Amino acid sequence: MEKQYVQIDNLSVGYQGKALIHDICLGIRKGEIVTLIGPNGSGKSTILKTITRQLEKLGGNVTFAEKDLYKLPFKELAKKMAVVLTERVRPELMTCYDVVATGRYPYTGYMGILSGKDEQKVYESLETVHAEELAERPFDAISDGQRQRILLARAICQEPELIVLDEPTSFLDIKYKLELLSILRNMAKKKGITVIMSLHEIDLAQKISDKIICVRGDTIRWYGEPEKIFKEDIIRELYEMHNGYFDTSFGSIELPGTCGVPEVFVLSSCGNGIPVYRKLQKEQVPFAAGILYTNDIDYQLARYLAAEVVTEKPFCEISDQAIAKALKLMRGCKKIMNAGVVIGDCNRKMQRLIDEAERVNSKKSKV
Amino acid sequence: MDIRRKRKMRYSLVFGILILAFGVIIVLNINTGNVQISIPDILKILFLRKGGEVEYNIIWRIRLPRLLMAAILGGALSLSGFLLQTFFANPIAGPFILGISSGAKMVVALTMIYFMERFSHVSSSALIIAAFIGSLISIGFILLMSRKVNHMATLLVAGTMIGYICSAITDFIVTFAEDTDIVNLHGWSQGSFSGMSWGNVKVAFLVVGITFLCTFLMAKPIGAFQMGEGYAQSMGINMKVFRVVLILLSSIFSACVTAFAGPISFVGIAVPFLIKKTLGSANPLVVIPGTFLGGSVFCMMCDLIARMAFAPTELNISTVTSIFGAPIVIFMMLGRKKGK
Amino acid sequence: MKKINRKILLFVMVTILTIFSTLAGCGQTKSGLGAGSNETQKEKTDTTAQDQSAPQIQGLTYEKTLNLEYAEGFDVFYYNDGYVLIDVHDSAQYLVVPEGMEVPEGLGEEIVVIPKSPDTIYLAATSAMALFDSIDALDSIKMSGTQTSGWYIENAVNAMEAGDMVFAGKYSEPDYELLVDQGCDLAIESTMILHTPKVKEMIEMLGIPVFIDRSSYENHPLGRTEWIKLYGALMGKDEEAEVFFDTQTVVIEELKDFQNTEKTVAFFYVSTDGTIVVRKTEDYIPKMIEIAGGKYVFSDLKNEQSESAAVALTMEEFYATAVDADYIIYNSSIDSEITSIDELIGKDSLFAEFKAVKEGNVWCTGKYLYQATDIVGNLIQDIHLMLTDENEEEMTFLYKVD
Repeated sequence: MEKQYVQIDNLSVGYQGKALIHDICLGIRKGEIVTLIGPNGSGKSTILKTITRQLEKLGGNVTFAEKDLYKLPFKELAKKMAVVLTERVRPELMTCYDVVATGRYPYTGYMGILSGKDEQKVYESLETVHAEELAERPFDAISDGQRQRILLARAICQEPELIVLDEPTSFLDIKYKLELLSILRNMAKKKGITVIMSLHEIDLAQKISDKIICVRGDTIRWYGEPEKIFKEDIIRELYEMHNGYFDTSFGSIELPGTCGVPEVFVLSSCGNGIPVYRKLQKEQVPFAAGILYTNDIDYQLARYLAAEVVTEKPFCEISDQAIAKALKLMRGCKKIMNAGVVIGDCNRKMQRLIDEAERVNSKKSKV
Repeated sequence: MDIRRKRKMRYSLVFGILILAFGVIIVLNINTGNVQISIPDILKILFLRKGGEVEYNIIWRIRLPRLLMAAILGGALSLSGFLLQTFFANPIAGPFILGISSGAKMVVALTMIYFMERFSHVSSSALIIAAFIGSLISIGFILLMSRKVNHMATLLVAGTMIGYICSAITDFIVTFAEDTDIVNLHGWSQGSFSGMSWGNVKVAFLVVGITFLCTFLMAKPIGAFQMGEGYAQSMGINMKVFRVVLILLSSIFSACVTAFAGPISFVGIAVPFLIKKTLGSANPLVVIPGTFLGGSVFCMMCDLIARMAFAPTELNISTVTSIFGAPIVIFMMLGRKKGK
Repeated sequence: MKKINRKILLFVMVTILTIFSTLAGCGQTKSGLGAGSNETQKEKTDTTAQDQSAPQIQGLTYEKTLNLEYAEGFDVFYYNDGYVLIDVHDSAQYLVVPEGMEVPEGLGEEIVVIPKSPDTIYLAATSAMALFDSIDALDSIKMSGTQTSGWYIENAVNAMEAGDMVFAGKYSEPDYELLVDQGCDLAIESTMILHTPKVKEMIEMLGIPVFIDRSSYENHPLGRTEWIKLYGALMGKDEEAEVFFDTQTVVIEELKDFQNTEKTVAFFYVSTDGTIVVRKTEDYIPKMIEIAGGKYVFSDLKNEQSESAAVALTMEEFYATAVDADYIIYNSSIDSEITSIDELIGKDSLFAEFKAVKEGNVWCTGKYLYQATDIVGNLIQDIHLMLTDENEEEMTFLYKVD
């Protein structure tokens, strides 16, 4: 089999001779973004640390651009691979410029003095992460988000072919998360830099990665493209989620709805039901939703949150069975809410439900 | 760009002051003593090698070797402290934190007892070599342990433990020894620059000089190491070798000081801190020579005070370094807090 | 991994090298000890025997050997034109060269050359001061290793107060500049200097010869005093030394026929850690007790561990033997003097059980004692008086404690 750009063969990783994860076999192409996901403590960092050679490998091998990763002299490796780690960096008396400049070490001479070209590269790296104005500020006087960008700039400054990042977005707010990932995306696609990282935000992982590695137990459970990995049952099993759902279409996380006999019936369509569902969920009221076409976005959420959902096939007329079912549920509910139904040719029969709802509600108000 | 120029100016200023201070202190040291010698006479003795026998002896045999040793060993101590502070990322790490002075003291005690029992006297070179060997033993243990531990902070604990073990062994030996054999063990462990000969100066200059050059050549990896081990390795430094070299260099410095002058406290902790603050940078290219120079100046000044403050009684050099060093460091730390 | 192995190899090599150089250095120092000192025999009045045991010095003709009655720690050999060789056993040999004379060619390297009648002496051996005083050579001592307050010898105190003698730093921290500036021509040190080799080497490097006094190693009390003859030979005051010494031996003569009272005497002090420090049986103090007509309470006490005369005992061990001692003499030279029996009992309540305490025969030495090397023989007289219940007024060192 033709070797990929980064080829991992039967790699075993762990601490002090004990293998945490063994038989890791996968190939990564140049310019791909590969993300490790998995529960806390599953060994994502261990794998990354073994790839960066911070940890000794316990078995197997890694080939990088057709060279044995573990036989490369450190100096040569430094020109090919850069890292962004989770450890807290506390350099004394260094400005951000100084920190980024350390990325040039593999290229500077014996005493580590930067040439004009090196300085140029430092500024370019700062530009790439949009942090030029931070250059002269002391590193320990900026925010976590800014620091992370500086560290990324440092890695970029090393002009690597492979960047390894360990949870680079953990401390960042949404703006910086997106920024960082888009920078990585650019680097990968425009400059052909391969990215291997671990992320906790699986929604982001889904959106940015070319390949996903699922770390669970003592092996790699799944490896492949996001489309194959991000299936509900896989994610549920990977993270052992009992208390919620992961919507793979949108990559969103949902808390579970309340089970039981529905107390409220929500009539809605075209997404009008969503806010109502959420409110009811927060108040832990079991509810029923209908009649929803399965291509309506209300359905996407209702199927998780509602105790009962009455559905209809997309683009079809609403069937009488559906109406009957809905009416039955409505009568069993204490309250009926009309969140806003858009009536069109296909769902004209919904009008009946709406009228019924009005009738019940006005009766109540009279009492 | 502006900041770079500001930095260069700051460096030049600080180094200028240090070199000036160096010169001034040397002059002061040569000129001061229980015996008054006029400046023209001093110059004649130094450069023309001519003068009355008494004055000549005093300048060449008593004052010069002593102040040169203070300069050399002061620089060595501060660099030793700097290296260990970098290694442990701990600003209060000192040159003797790895148990070197305890190991040296133990072997010196053993040597004193052995020689005094067998031959009734011991030569000073035997004690110097003994102290060196004792230091090497401690270093050896630390190096062996550094291969087994994952966290370097564990080494700090190991060093402290070695210190305790050696002290315990020393106390044990002392209990059984004749009082007269080890009566000057206490004196040895106080540390002093008095009674240095040119032979001492030559050896110290050689050992410290070579080690200084090696340290300076390590400026780049040390700079990388300031980002932490993980990043340093990713930048191409072989951590296993680096760790060993760093400990070795630092230990040779402190072993040298202990061998010739006994353990002297505080210089190794205070001076690197002061120099880094003054220079406003941790860049090893400037900090290494700066620390050495600063240590020399500091030690020479303290030795001068130890000699002259209550003449003819000499103060213990560690007392002086601590009395002067501690308030300065506190002052600078408070200043930093205000600045923030 | 290879790099680390290399480093460890290097480290091991360095260690081996260092060990070798230590042994080499040690070999040197061993040979540096006086080569000839063990050759000399004990002097006898037989001149032919003396002729044979005196060391040969190229260019000098041996004349006579100093006659010693009690001292065993040294020998003095006289040569032509005033040259004198002082041989301190187990220590070193010193050639005293008269003023204006040459050092003989081919003189053995290990023989220390000292000038005759030096006039600028740095004295850091307290026991020698009294001897210099008694041969009237005190004015040659210009620098002292003890402060004025530390001297009990009147003339010494006067000289220091008058500025004729200055404090030049204690033996372990001498003021080198002062020594050089004053033109010190001889440093007389006690054996403590051997523990600070750096100081001895520095002094010698400055061109000042170092003489090590070993009078305190003498077992016989008069042996200590007889060192006055050594210093007499050094200072060219042989006659004065001889005369003085004879006055001291008188006391021995007087007591020669005295019948021993068989009364036991304990001589000790209580150390800060509670142990009782006594003298070994072969020491000069017990000898003095014996000469004075008493018996030292420990008849067979040896010091297994070292040459030192002092032996530390636990109260238990001391009590077992000394509880029945007739007399107690408290040694104040290390500890302070005691002014009352209650003070003694205060140090350890067990003392109340001692016979000497119950009978009120507790005495104490004055602090003066240890510096009074010249008249230490007087202590014999004091003890004799104590044993015969005579007048306290006539005692030099002892006083009764109530």
